[in-house]
Amino acid sequence: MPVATEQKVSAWDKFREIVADRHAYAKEWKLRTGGKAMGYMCTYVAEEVIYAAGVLPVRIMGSREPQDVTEPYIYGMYCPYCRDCLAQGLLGRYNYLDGITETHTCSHIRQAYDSWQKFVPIGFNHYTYMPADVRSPRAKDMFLIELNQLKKALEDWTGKPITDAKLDKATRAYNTNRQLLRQIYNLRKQDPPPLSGLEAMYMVMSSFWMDKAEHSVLLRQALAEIKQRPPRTDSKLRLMTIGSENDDPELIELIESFDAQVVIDEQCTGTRYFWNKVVPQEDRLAAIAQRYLDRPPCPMKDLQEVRQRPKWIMDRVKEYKVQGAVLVRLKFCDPHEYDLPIIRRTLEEAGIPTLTLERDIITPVGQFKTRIGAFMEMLQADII
Amino acid sequence: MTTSATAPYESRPIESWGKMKEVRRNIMRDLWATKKRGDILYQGGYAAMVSLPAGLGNAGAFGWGPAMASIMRDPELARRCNEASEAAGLGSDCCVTLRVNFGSALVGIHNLARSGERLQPDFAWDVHQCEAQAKTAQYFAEYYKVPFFAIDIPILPLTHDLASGIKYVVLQMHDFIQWMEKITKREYKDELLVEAVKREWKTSILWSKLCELQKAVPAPMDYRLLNSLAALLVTSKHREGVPELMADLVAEDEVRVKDKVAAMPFERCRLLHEGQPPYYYPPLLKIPRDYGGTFIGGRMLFALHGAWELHEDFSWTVSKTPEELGLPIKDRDTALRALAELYLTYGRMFLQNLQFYKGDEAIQVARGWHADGVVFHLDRGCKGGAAGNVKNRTELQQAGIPTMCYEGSNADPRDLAENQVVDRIEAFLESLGLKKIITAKDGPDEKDD
Repeated sequence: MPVATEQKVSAWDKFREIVADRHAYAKEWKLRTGGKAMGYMCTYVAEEVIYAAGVLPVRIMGSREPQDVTEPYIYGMYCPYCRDCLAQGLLGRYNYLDGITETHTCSHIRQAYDSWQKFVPIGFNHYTYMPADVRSPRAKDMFLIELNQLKKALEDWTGKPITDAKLDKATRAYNTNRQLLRQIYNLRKQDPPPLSGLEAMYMVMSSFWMDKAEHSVLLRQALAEIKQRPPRTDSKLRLMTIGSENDDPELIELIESFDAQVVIDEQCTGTRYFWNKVVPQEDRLAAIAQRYLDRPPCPMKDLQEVRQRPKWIMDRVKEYKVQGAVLVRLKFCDPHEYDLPIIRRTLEEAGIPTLTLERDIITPVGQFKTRIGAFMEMLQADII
Repeated sequence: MTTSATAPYESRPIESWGKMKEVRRNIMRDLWATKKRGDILYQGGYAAMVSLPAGLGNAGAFGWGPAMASIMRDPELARRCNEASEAAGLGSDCCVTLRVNFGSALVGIHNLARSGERLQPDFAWDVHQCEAQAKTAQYFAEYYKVPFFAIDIPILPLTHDLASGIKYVVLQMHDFIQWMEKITKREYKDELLVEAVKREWKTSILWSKLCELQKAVPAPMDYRLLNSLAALLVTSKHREGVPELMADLVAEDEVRVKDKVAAMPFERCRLLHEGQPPYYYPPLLKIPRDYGGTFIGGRMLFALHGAWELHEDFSWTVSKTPEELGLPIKDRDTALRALAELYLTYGRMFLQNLQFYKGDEAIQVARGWHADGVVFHLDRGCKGGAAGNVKNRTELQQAGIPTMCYEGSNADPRDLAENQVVDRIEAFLESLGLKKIITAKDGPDEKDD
């Protein structure tokens, strides 16, 4: 009898599978390890501290389905994403979580967190203040005090101390993961890039639900698989996506269904999540605090006289040879609305055409297809 | 359905109102004369810690926009300002105070004095407690091409280390003062700061006293009268004449309470209004009057300018003075500490942004102020103010306090369906068992607004 050979699942298929069935991994992880899982919503939550406590951080995201359960809790003019997140809790889809934590972010997400911790039965919850002016010289000390409180709360909850060794191990796991993501993102500078924007999005999003050490194994596999891919010769328009949660792979798929490829992003389901690493310091929590203060800021955290985001975006535009930008904003998302005119102006003054798409949790495919198609035609005409 | 009745309470105008208008007018005149005096003018400095630039001398404050009151008197102009912001790229669903004021700059009236002179601010600053506040100052800094500074307000739950939050804010204030000295090249005088902080504290306590007097039945003032003080309080709590005015109002109100002089001669129903009202549509706050009802205030209104002590059951009482609290105001450091304490420990406005306790506080305010119902403004233009409101509404209902919601915007007339909202409020009043009163037109004069 021929020996059956196990067909190895491609890392890229695995990323897609994790995103599509996002709860399965954490449930399986809990069964396998006996560990606890902690939900969080905003990427400013210092995951390393949770991970060091032996707890799996799990990002709470919406399901992008119409829902009618949040009306008694959040007024309909708050962003649909925060309502979608809360809906997941009210509908019991994250009922495998043992705790929930959140950091100071926009009032939209804070409401989702407030209602979750009050109305969804959960064993542990903790809120961490995260300074809004991350470049203020006073921000680090404040954030450090708050991170110490988070650490203590986790220690009390798990009954185990979070030692420096555990923080080191967690930091290494996260830094490795970030480094691998950067390495793969760097490949997208090539023309044509060896991976699509859709693949990149699945890759980053899958890390929200996976143990970082295990996700890094997949990333190494993905790197190896990329090298096996036959070289491409088709050069497409190089686009950047910019926006808030932007959690819809279908939107990226739609953009790339034209003669275009998303080569870089500035969104919290992409670069803003993983771009920079923790630089080790004697005080481990101080090092972690500094990492979150230094990361590419979201508009909630960009309060300096010279805004950080336009420069960061323009640096990526140059590095990745971006030819056009799609600004994706969620309806009712104030922080991004405040920055949008400035970012659009910065890009256009640099000769980068932009398209602004306002979305709800559901992407209006027909409408967007027409608008993206027109944008592509314009870009192609410009380039010719 | 209507009914005729005799007014149960005496009502008369507030005697100090003339003085209020004079103080307000003088502050506005003073503002527009800032540059002629050779003083510093700044954009921002809205509703909190307004004493900080006082060390530079008699600095003028634009707040978010000196033309705000004029714009709100002219709904068509309000529309134009909002639309100008939207044409510049701001979403029609983001902070309306930012939109309308930034729009006023775009249509050319933000810094335009009656004399025709245009005033250029020297810098922009603000505290940052909601998404919009310091972002607005940042917008104006870019527009006027002037330096910008934000003071980040830590929003901390009661279980957190508040002392670290106070220290964080105090250090930022120190940085701000050094920054102001550097960019204005002016000497910062601590003695002026000390006096300003004393006045900011005093005004805040007196505001709380004024609000607490509203617990009396009948209430000596109504929402409109209280809210008319906002124009003074958001930028000028620290200025000479303001605490004195507030003291006069408190003294007069105490007499009115003793003599049972009402804001409205019929007070058969006491209502709270949560959220800022639609400023361009004053009739809304007068609707209950025809039913013998009075808007006596609101949790947000009371919180906005006050100094309150929060108790374990989430009820509030007027804060003690800084001296009684062991917060002497003697020099720069003690003044800054007292200022941080005022807003982080005794201010109920910033901490409501956490939402954790907002519902519990709303119930205690409704009970403490003997409210028969609460009207929530689901303000499309103020995410911070409306945050948690639908949840709070449910919590109040569960506590047995009738509520209703209406949708609108405090500064964008396009967002208010006036007739529908009037109908809804009238239906709510009828659901409380009230009927229209034929003779109830003799409240404080409309000109009192």
